[in-house]
Amino acid sequence: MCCESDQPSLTQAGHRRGQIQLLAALSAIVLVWCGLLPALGRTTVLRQRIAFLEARGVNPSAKFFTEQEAGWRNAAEVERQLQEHPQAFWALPWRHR
Amino acid sequence: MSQQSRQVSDDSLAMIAAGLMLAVSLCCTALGSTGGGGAAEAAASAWQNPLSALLKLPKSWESNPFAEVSGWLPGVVGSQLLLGAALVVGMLICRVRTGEFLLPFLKVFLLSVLAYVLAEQKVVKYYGLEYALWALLIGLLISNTVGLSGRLRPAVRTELYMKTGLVLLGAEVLFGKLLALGLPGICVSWVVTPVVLIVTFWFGQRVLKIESAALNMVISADMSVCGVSAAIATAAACRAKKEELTAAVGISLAFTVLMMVVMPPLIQLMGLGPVVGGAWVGGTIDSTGAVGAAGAMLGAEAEKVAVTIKMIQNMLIGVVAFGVAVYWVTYVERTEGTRPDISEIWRRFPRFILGFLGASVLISLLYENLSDGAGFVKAVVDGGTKTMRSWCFCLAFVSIGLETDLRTLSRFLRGGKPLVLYVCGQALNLLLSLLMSLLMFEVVFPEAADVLRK
Repeated sequence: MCCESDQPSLTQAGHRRGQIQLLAALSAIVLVWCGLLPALGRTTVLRQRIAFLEARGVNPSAKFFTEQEAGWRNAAEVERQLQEHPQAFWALPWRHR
Repeated sequence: MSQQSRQVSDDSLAMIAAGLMLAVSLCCTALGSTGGGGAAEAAASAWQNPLSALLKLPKSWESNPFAEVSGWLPGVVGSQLLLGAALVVGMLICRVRTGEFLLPFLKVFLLSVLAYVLAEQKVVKYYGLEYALWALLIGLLISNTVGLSGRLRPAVRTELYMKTGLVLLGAEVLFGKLLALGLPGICVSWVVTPVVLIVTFWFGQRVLKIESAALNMVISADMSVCGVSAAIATAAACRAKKEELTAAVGISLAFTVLMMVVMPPLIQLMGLGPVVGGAWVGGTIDSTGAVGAAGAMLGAEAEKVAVTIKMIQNMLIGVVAFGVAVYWVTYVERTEGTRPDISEIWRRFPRFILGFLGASVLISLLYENLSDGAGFVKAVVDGGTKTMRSWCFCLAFVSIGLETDLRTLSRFLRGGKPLVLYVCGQALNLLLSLLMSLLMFEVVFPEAADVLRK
């Protein structure tokens, strides 16, 4: 990130227009987040899917495996299986034929 | 301050601030726990991090964002205080003036809190639309309507927040996990991922002739490795422009949602088993969270394989960031016809990568060697560093938005070449990952697939 961005140069008149635009955008955000999205979330399909993922400890917006309980849980489970059956994961089949 | 010295200053600051936060989390876990092993072995883990009560992110909500605000607000204030303190201490050590930083920092942090609250709405979260997107949009909204106030500018420090977050992310990169799925995991993640990354980058440079090599690299890495976190790491390693990172993140998030919805039914339609299907999902969908969601839709076995494959790809971030940084200072930034010597490479090398790798090595050693190392590391990460890293990245994306002009951003997407690059790279990724998953789990290691199905 070596270069600076050009900033939007706002004149005095444009500033008032900008304030109105910002206010309109914020109102839209409130409307969508507090009205539309909760209504969508109450539909049977979405409510069930969200509950299913929450019960499994899956966070669909996780950026890294540590951000979801399912990441730690599955890692531990696979680690256990790998320790119990190392041959299955490491031994090439033609080596022990 | 010259660009070179500003970069060194940001790198040093980031390493000091992140190092302090990591040290605090390690000490709190070590001192605040009963310790691993002994009589406490019966418990799931004896390691506790007292910081977890003091550092929090906003909780997910359904219809009223303020419903459980008392549960997380004190933790958010605690996070702000710790991050602010760590950055100020770093600035004092680096002899950077702190007076102008603190008040604007509080305001930028407030914008980050707003972005996080938007991202935690349950429907938004379900579709994997993570905070990076909302942080960018909030920043863009402000900078492109009322403009970035001069009073806010001292705290709009994209590189500082990003590098601090990346050094903290190093504490979540456990090298031992690279072998988590044995040889099949190595082949699906270690072989396919770098091949796709290199071929996509080559395709972008030679066939599409994308003007910016950095944009090409960031898109190639976020598509082949693990989405936004890989994009952040490579963007910092190759010094991509803010607009380039924004474009790459936008494309990646759009395709992540699409693939998360489309892949599970497609896998069922194709009749792939849960292990091959899970490996395919894990190897191709960019975002870690979306991989978990798509895998869970296919069943517990598929989820386990998908999440593990993605976890191995997560671990590749360090290797990829280091490789990209070395490649950039050695080949891309060199003067025409000359080959830089070691001292020149070292002068240009982004030092924060060393902090990232150092944190990773330290935590990996603790994970492998401590009694109940897994419990200790989980307490350190879950209780402290993960939360602080998330705030750093959120602040970075708010800062990017605040510094970005939408008209400039559209320049980077003109001609649709970045989109074509992503689609072609992802097509190759889908094909190679499917072939390798079939080869590994159906032909070479069918016993591993049987074990994973248990």
